[in-house]
Amino acid sequence: MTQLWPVALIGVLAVAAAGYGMYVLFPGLVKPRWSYFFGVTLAIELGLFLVAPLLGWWLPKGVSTYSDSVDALFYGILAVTGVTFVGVSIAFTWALFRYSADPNRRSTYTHGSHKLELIWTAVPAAVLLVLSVVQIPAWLKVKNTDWLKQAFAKGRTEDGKRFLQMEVVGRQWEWRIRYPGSKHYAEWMEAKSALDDVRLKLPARPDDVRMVNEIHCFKGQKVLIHLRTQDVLHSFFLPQMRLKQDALPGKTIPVWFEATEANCHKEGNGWKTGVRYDADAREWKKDDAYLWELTCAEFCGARHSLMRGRVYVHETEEDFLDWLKAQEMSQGAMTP
Amino acid sequence: MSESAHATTHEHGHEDIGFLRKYIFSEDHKIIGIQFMFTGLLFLLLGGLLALGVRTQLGWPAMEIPILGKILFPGSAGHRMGPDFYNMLFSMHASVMIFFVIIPLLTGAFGNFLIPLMIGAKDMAFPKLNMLSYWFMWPAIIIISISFFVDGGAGASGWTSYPTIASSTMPMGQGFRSPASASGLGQTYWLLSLIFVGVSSMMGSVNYITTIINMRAVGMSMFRMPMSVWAMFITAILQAFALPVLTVALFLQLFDKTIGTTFFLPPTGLVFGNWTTGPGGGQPLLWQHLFWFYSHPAVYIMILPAMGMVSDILCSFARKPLFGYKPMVLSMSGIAGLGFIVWGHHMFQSGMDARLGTGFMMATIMIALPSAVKVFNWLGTLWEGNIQFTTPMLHALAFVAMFVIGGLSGIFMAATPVDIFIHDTYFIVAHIHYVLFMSSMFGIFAAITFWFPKMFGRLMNEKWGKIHFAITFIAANCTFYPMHILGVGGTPRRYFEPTAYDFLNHLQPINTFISVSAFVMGFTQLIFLGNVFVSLFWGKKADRNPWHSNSLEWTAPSPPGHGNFETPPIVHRGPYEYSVPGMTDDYLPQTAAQPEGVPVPAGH
Repeated sequence: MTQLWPVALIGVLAVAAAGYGMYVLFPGLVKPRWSYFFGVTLAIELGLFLVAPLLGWWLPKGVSTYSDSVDALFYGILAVTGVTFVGVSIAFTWALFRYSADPNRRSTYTHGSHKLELIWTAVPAAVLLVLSVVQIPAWLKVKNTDWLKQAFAKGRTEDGKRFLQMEVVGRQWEWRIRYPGSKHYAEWMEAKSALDDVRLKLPARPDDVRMVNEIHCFKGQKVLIHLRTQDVLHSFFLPQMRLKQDALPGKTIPVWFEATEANCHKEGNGWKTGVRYDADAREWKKDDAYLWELTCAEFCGARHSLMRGRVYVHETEEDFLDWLKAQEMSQGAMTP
Repeated sequence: MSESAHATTHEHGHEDIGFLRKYIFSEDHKIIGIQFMFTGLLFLLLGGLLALGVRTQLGWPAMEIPILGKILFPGSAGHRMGPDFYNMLFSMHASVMIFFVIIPLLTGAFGNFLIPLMIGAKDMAFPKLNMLSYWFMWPAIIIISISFFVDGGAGASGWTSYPTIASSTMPMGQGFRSPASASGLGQTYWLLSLIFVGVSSMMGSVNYITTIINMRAVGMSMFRMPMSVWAMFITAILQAFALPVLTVALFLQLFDKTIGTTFFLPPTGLVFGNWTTGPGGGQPLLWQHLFWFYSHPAVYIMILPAMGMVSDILCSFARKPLFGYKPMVLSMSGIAGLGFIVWGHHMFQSGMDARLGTGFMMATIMIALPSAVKVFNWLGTLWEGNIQFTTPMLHALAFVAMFVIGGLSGIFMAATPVDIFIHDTYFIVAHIHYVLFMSSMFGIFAAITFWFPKMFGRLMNEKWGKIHFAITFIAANCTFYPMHILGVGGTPRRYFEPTAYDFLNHLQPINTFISVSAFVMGFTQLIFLGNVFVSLFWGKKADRNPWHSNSLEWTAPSPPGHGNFETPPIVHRGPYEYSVPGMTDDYLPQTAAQPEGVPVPAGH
């Protein structure tokens, strides 16, 4: 797979050479037509989108509670645009083939057709209108922070779970993450404590755990990130969670996600990621599709492409707290 | 120049005005248009080279670059490109292509050359303003060229120049490089240069609007104008209303960088390493709103003229009237009007209120509608036509097919939940290059090859024109189509080192394939430039109407003299009367007398 590109390049050149060769050797058999030129190109392009998923060149694995709805909308749009592309391309290629210049023929003298105009305005308009309306709930669910504030006013999210809060500060060129310590974590069972932290944007406490470029959370738990930046625009992009939010200087932006699968487990004294729990074999297996990364998606200078973080989703709350306490121990030993 | 052109000059009683006023500081719209054209083509070379630099890094990351590496990166071990240089490359590639290539070529070159000729006027309404609009490009050109050589290099904050990376400056006495690493003196020059470009365009747009409204020939009603003119008219309105906002925003950022204002600095200030800016009084998001309020209409400025010219070229070589004249005018107006209320779709993930995002999303999705109507009307124009596959026609056909891809890919970004994933990935890079290179640039190639005989009295070489087209079409598709796949995989844009990520490594072969294709595409453009220059001097001589086309410019000599037409034209019909039944010829020019026995169609 790694050296596929020369194959693809040679393939394209081979097709072109074969076409030209056919023309030179068998001039009567295949008359070169520009419609073939356009048609073959368009067909190869369609083919690429059909072949890409099979080659693994496709969306990364979606592991959040809303990745499915994002992907469903993506596939819906792909279907609509795909059908349109195929239809228009066929009509286009056919027109070039059928209506190629012929001295014995005249073009049809027409200035248009009101009926056709109405049809090809109304039908796309209806499709686009439906498309724009059905996606609104998915968008607001991910991004509209009022929903969060209302949830906290009730003291709980709608399914009775609380948020795991953390602060993420982007800076040139790393992500600094601050987790409240395990003692404070326990206080979040009280709705008022959790709500205060949201309002005050997670005030700093002496027993906070600080990490660089590592996001830790656990499966099935809603995470609320207070996203900040201290210098320029950055963008918090978790591809597998289908989450992206620009960090804006001067503002703290609430961002949430909930992971549906775990990708790390304790091995010795540390936690190892890039693993998947195989329920049949009852063991953790290495799987590169479970290496989940945090990347910066808004240009921020020289090392914009090197602000790389890792996402560790623990299997259970106990495992997460194990990790948190282990960090507290090692960090506590260094703070006065 | 042909004989009749000289005759025109003498009739008007002009004494010889000298080489300088005839060809350098010319007030003649045709010369000014040609000046814009050559300037644009020169910068196409520069913009292309910058892109090849970007592709070198992405295709062969951290490669030791032979020869050029020693010259460009003498300080780097192994003569490798560093991220600062890379950031400059993509920033300047976009800036040069947008402001010094596409807009000057489409609006400056063809707006200028075509409008008076197509509406039957002797020149523009304000010839001196026209000359000024070209010469205002030169301060911009000089400033942007110098910016490559200042301390820190040319602007490297992206063509979007977002605060706070673009707008921050070191404290006094600390040099011109910036803590943000991408916004030194070069960025200040970038802002200044673009202010001049904006003023140049604003002058041009006022001229075009006035000329089209006031100076049409007798019988040239608005609905008898060719699509090229309608497109230039609507584009000029877009420029006139959107550019002032960009110009103001550029001044605001310039002041932030030079005289200590804080339009884009938040009240909390910023911390760069050890250094803290003071508190500000502004909002970084403000720039994004102001910038995109212009730059979204700008993308329609960069496509509408090409759409208009493609319509004219398609009709001419399909020998068929335009399908749906009024719907085509209405859809261009719709694109332009809607284009003013969708700027927020560049800011969906920016921290702007999500509910605003919903509004912008709906308007953006609806913009697909007039674009789709145009594609269907072009198909209708081709249908049952008699298609001649000349070089201009091939480019125009490529425009139609490729615009379908570019337009459809835009719908993915318009859908806000999907945009969460593909914002700032290679999917958007694919989209913009499909509408900018695969559409606008092919439109420009079509226009140059089509109107070259009118401009210079000589035809471009057909064989080399077709070779250039075929290789460019294949190589460009090989370059930009796989970028969709990179984007679906999640590859962020503006990345110096995508190989640093586990989830992207398997896509790296695609990057290499794209880079090879880009080099093929880049070098193929030399064929086009060679064709232009050789044909200028040794091309086959062209008569007035080599393509047997209907619009008014084809009744003037090739090239037209000062004053354009020997006698003022009188227009009897629209520009698309091709293959009229009852005629032997398959075209009927706008000024020709009505042939006997041929009924006059209603409403034309």
